[in-house]
Parts: sequence; C-alpha cells; structure tokens
Amino acid sequence: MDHSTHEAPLLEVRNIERRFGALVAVNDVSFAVPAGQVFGIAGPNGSGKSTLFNVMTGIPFGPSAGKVLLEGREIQSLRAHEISRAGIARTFQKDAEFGTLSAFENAYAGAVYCAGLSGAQAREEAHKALDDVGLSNDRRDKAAGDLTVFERKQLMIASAIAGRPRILLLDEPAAGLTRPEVSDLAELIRTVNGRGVTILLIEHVLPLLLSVSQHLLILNHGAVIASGKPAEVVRDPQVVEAYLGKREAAL
Amino acid sequence: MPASFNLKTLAIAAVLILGLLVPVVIEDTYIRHLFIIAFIYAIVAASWDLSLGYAGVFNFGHVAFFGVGVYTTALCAKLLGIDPWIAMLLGGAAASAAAAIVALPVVRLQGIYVVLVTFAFSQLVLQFVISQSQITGGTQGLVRVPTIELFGYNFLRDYKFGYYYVAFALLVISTLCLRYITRTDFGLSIRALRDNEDYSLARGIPIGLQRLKVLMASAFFAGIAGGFFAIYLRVASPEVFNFSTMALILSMVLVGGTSSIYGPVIAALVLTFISEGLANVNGLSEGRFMLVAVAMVLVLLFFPKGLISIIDRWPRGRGARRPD
Amino acid sequence: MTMDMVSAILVSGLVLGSVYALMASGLSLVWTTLGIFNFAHGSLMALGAYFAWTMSDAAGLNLWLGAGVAVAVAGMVGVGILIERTVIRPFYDDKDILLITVMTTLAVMIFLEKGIQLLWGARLKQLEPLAPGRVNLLGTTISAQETLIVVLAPLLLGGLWVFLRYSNIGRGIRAVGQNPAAAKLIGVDVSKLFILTFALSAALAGLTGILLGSVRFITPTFGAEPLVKALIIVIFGGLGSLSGTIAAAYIIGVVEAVLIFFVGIYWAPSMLFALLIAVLMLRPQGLFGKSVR
Repeated sequence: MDHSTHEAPLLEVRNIERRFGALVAVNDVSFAVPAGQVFGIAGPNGSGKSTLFNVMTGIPFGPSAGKVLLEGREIQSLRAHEISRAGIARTFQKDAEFGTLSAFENAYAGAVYCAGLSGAQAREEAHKALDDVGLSNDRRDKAAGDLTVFERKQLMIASAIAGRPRILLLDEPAAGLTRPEVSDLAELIRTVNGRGVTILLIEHVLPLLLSVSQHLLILNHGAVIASGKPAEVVRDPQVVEAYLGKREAAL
Repeated sequence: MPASFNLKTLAIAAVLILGLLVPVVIEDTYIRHLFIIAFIYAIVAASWDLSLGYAGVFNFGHVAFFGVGVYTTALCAKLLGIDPWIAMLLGGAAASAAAAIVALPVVRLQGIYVVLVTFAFSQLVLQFVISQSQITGGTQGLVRVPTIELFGYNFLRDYKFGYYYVAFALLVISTLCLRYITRTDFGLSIRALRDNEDYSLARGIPIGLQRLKVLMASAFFAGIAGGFFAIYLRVASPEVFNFSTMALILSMVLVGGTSSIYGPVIAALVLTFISEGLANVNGLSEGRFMLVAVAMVLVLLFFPKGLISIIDRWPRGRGARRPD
Repeated sequence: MTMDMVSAILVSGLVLGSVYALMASGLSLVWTTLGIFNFAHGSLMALGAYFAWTMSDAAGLNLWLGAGVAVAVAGMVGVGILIERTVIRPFYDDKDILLITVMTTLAVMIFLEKGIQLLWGARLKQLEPLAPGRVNLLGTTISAQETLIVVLAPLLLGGLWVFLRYSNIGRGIRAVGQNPAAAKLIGVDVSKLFILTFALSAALAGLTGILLGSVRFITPTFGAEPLVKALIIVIFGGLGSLSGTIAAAYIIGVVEAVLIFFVGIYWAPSMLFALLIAVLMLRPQGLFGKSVR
C-alpha cells in the first residue's frame, strides 16, 4: 500500500473542541490522515470517539471550536449534508440503513445525493459498490431492514462508497458481529481501502483495529493521549493504563 | 417482469375506461355529484399521503391547505374577476405558499412539535377566514362563485356531466403526478429521510429542503382540489376547515394505507359513498362522523397498514425497485 | 396610555392566562408522563361543562351547582379512564405511538364533539356563575366569576404541584415521566399511574370547562379555541415541564391581551401565530423547553 505521508494530508483536524455546558467531550484534538491510509481511533467508552465523528460531519452538531480541513479546504462550517457531499461519508453504530428501502435503493441514494450522479450512471455506481462489498445480487431487492446483521454492515459501507467519498468514517463497524464475521469485515475494509478509499476507523475490537490500521490514535477523556504506529502505540504505558489495562482486565 | 407489467397496464386501462363510462351509464345527478366529491377528496387524501406517508412529515394542516385553495380560488374568481380556470391554479399556488410558511418552522422541528404547529396553523387559518368577514363572508362563507366554461360550454348544463369529467381528469392527472414524484430520486430521498434522518444527512440528502419541497408539492394538489371544490359547489365555506372534514380525509389515508397513493384514492371513493349514504340515514347526518372516528381507531388497532394491505401487501412490492 | 388601559390589559391577560394555564397543564402532565399528546383535551373540557350544566341547570336536574361540579369531575375521571383504556393503552408498545395516538385522540375529539351535539343539541348553554356579581380588580371591573378563575387557577395548579411533589402517587407519576423502565424496575405500577394521570388531566379539563362555562357560552365546540391556545402555549413553553407550560400560559395570556388591545380580536390570532413562527425560528425547542423528540 502506498504511504504518501509527505504530501499534504487528505484530512486534517486542527485543535477541535466540543463542549456541552461544563463538560468537554472533545478536547483540543488534532491529527492528519494521509490519502490511502486506514487510520484507527480507539479509546475507552465515553472517551469522545463518536462525538469526534459527530463534530467532523456536523451530524447532529458541529464543533465548538477548531477546524476540519478536507484537502486543505475548511469544511467545519458547512451544513451536514454538504459535508457529506464534500466527500466525508460516515456510518453509525446503530441504525445505519434506510430500513424500508431496498438494499439497492440504499446504495443508489448514496450515488445520487453524495456523488451527484443520476440515472443509469447512478444505478451502475450503486451496483458497483454492492459488488465491491460482496452483497449478493439476489439480496439487493430485499428491504434493508430485513437483511442479516452482516449484510447490513456490507450495505452501510456500500451506500457510503457509492457516494464516491474522499474518506470513509466507520464507527464501530464490528459491533454485533460474530468472530468469523469480524475477520470477513477486516477483509472487506482492506478491499475497500485497496480500491483507494481512505478510511478513518473507530473500533472496540482491537485485533480488527490492529490488523487493518496503519496508524493508531488513542483518545481518553476527549483528548489524544497517543498517536503513531499501531505496534508502538499499544506499548505506550499511558495507553496501557487508560485503555488496554481495563480492556485486558475485562477480557 | 413483462407479465405483471401487462397486468398492471390492463388494470389501469380498465379503471380509466370505467371512470370515463360512469356518467354515460349513470344519469342520476346525485350519484354523479358523489363521484365528483369523492374524486376531490381522493386528491386531497392522496396528496396528504405524499407528505405524511412517504416523507413522514407529521403534517396535520393538510386540510387547511385544501381550504386555502378553496378560498383563494373563490376570492380570485369572484372578487378579482380572474378566469376560474386560472383561479384554480392560483388556489394551488396559494396552498403551496401557505405550506412554505408552515415549513419555515416545521423543517427545524421534530416529532410532536410538527403536529402542533401544523395543527395550530390550520386552526388559525380558520380563525383568520372567519374574522375577515367583509372579504370572506365570515361564517356565512362566500356564495355565487363564478363557474368554469370551456369553448363556450357551460358546465352547469347536462346534470354535472361536464364537471364529472373535469374532476376525473384532475384526479387522474394528480394521481399520475404523485406516483411519478414518489418514483423519482426525490421520492426516494423523502422515504430515506422518513426512515432515518441522521443517516440521510450522512448520505448527502438536504433534509430541510426536501421537507419544504414535499410540503409545497403535497399542498399544491390539495390547493387545486380545493379550487375545483369552490368552483364546482360555487361556495367557499369555513366548514372545509372542520375537524370533521379532517377526520374524514384522514380516515381515507389510514384505511387506504400510507405510502401507496392508490390506497387513499380507492379509500376516498369507497368512504365518500359510505359517508354520504349514512348522511341520508335519519339522525346520522352528524352522527356519521362518530362512526368515522370509531373506524379510524379500529383501523389503527387492527390494520395499521390500511385495509388495502389485506388485498395487496404494498410495502414489499414498492420497496423493491427493479435494478436494471 | 393611561394606567386604566394598562390595568385593563393586565387584568384581561391574567384571566386569559389563568384559563390557558389550567388547560395547558393537563396537556403537559399527560405528555411528560405518558409521552402522548391528547387532542381530545378540548372536548373533555366541553364535556365537563355539559355534565355540570345537566346537573345544575333548570332545564336539567336543577340541583345545586356544587353537585354539578362534583358529578362532572367524577364523570370526567371515568371518561378519562375509558379513553386511556380504549385508544391509548393498546399502543404503548408501538414505536409509532406518538403519531398513532395523535390520530386516535383526534378521533376521540370528533366522537365527543359530535356525541355532545347529538345529546345536548347545538343550542348555546351557560352555567350559573359559581360567584355572582362584579368585582374591582386592579382598578378594572370584571365579573366575580372571572376573578374566581384568576384566584382558583394558581390554587389548583399549586395543589397539583404539591401533589406531584410530595404525595407518593405524585412522586410515582414523576418517576414514570422521567424513566418508565426504571420506574417499573423499582416496583412502580406504571400502568396504574398512566390511567391515574390521564384521569387527573381529564378532571382538570372538566373543571376548566365548568369555570369557563359561566363566562362563555357552552357549545359542542366550546373547547376548540382554548385547545388551540393551549397548543400555542405548549409550543412556546415546551411540553417538557409543568412550570414552563404554566409560565408560558400566563405570558401568552398577557401577550394576547396586548395584541387584542392594539390590533383587535380579528388580527390577534394571526399575529400570535406570526410571533410563534418567529420564536420557533430562533429557538426550535420552545422558550423554556429542552428539545424533545
């Protein structure tokens, strides 16, 4: 995989902050994601991971302070749907589908409203995305709400990449999956990344995170406590204490 | 699937031909009148389904949009002397404009507050109409509204023969337009935002704008229907804003099943005849609305997808757009 | 503007505000506890007034008005329980309960309105005032009945507040409102409290109807206008808290009195709605409310 870290980063987050009254959910977080990478984010529960995705995408709220730059362009003050169209496609931990729409329509919606395609082109893009994630042809007419858990994960990624995003934000995609399904998901993430999609990945399941990420960032209490090569980060004593210690104890 | 396609085309053709034949076969003026009223209600119910059923906007001001159409058309035709055909179009436009005003707060609100604002709006339109009695005729309403003419044909002749065809044409055109809207990318996007708001935003759907558009579109058809209602009855009365009218039309949407367009149209035809039939039963002219109320609750209790869903399971058939 | 005018506006605003506060607090109580909006609240108000009229009027049973009030309140409790059982209870587990109960309570509203019309006819009726005569309030002379409303409303609402705050049942109701699942876990009989809350709110509506029934004429649609005002109030104040609702009721009462004074009763409703839209544009969650789904 190509690590073009010396070029300008694809996505850059600068000193971003989100306050709820006295509570600081995201505290002065900065990082840069080079094009083509799988950039992992981890941290204990309540460390501000999902809030970080929320403020980056404006769904449902933007940051209190700080900047988000996509290819050098500030996007933090755009409206939520404009951020999506600018090239940031995110998924959610729960309810990441349009339940009564067919699987095909789910992907098609991404192609139309994110990539700005229409007609035959949009249909082609939707099918291509569904091919990429490996959702079989005979399942594409089913209502998304009737699909299996793993199929819905495939679908949420398909509908995101059908929108031709610059970067894909995956929020705990392994939640609710069985162990074999998690390794299928890892394969899927590598495939999508292999097609040139940069990925920002929040994950609780550490083996998955470590197996696909080229870079790892650890959040605790809303702040970055470590960032670097995954193998080095997991040995950082601060990380072990804040996150991995508890995690291992729990396991 | 050419076989089912042909079947559908046949069914639609059959319904159209039947619809065209009705006034030829039925000469009774009252029955023709019921058909005309049913067609008007069908347009209102089907267009309500667009915003309430497809887009999931808790719009409870739809009957007010119908009323705005009634009064705009009546006032334009009577007081401003505008050609009644044009006045009907203006009725639709005014209803859309009213919807845009309601949409201003509604696109930013959620859940029960959408219900409250749209409902309050409908009651305030009523109070406004009643209070401006020197223009609107107040509680008495506006009478002797000028009627339509086409190439010198006076629609008052031939026992409503002409009116029937105008109403039928309006219904067919509205239904086709509404079906078309639901099948476009826009139609897909409003179903998407009904299913999941945050996810819609994450897929680039501008939900505020789509809500505004869908409210305006759905109000437009209701407004046109209102315009024709005023022209046909030659009266604009505040009764159109009644809770009873609202309950009757809402029951059509419920019985027909939301998100289907055809469902509410069929339900409107059936329920108008039942309701008018009951109105002629001694003592039921007001009491029938109690039956409508009971029917609404029963449908919600036992057939939440509408009575039509027993015959044809819409959601499945509709959810599966054929991938080409 | 003279002091007389200020006093007249203030007093009429106070009367309106008191009626609205009584109306809206019932709606708010049901919302915070059951999580549904009761569109039949206005019809319940009318029904209460008709019950009292039947008991007390010369054309009815011609009993003392106190008997009317008692029977009306008891009757409203019964009607409230019946409504909760038939059109709300079946939907507690439905994820679309909000939308469905909007429609079922609308159906109840129609049912009651038409039922009243069939039973009592469309003719205007009026209750004997509980307090006859006229009273001077802040330099403005109003009927004693209106004064009674102004005095009784805060007493009733205060009583409601004390009940919710200090009685076991009241505390249960508040617990259910905040977290039904948790309340169930600690052994609160949620279903009983739902009925109780709804019955209480119905009784409150009936009482409002009786108080207003000697100031205005009672008709089958007697409750429609106060209901719409109560809607505006809960939108302004947010449905989430009783105190917010009550504060909003008095504010709207005074604002309406001011509007009526300056633009007349014909334009006041439209102006009020314009104001409502303006407020919602700035604060979608209402003046005092947190955003509630």
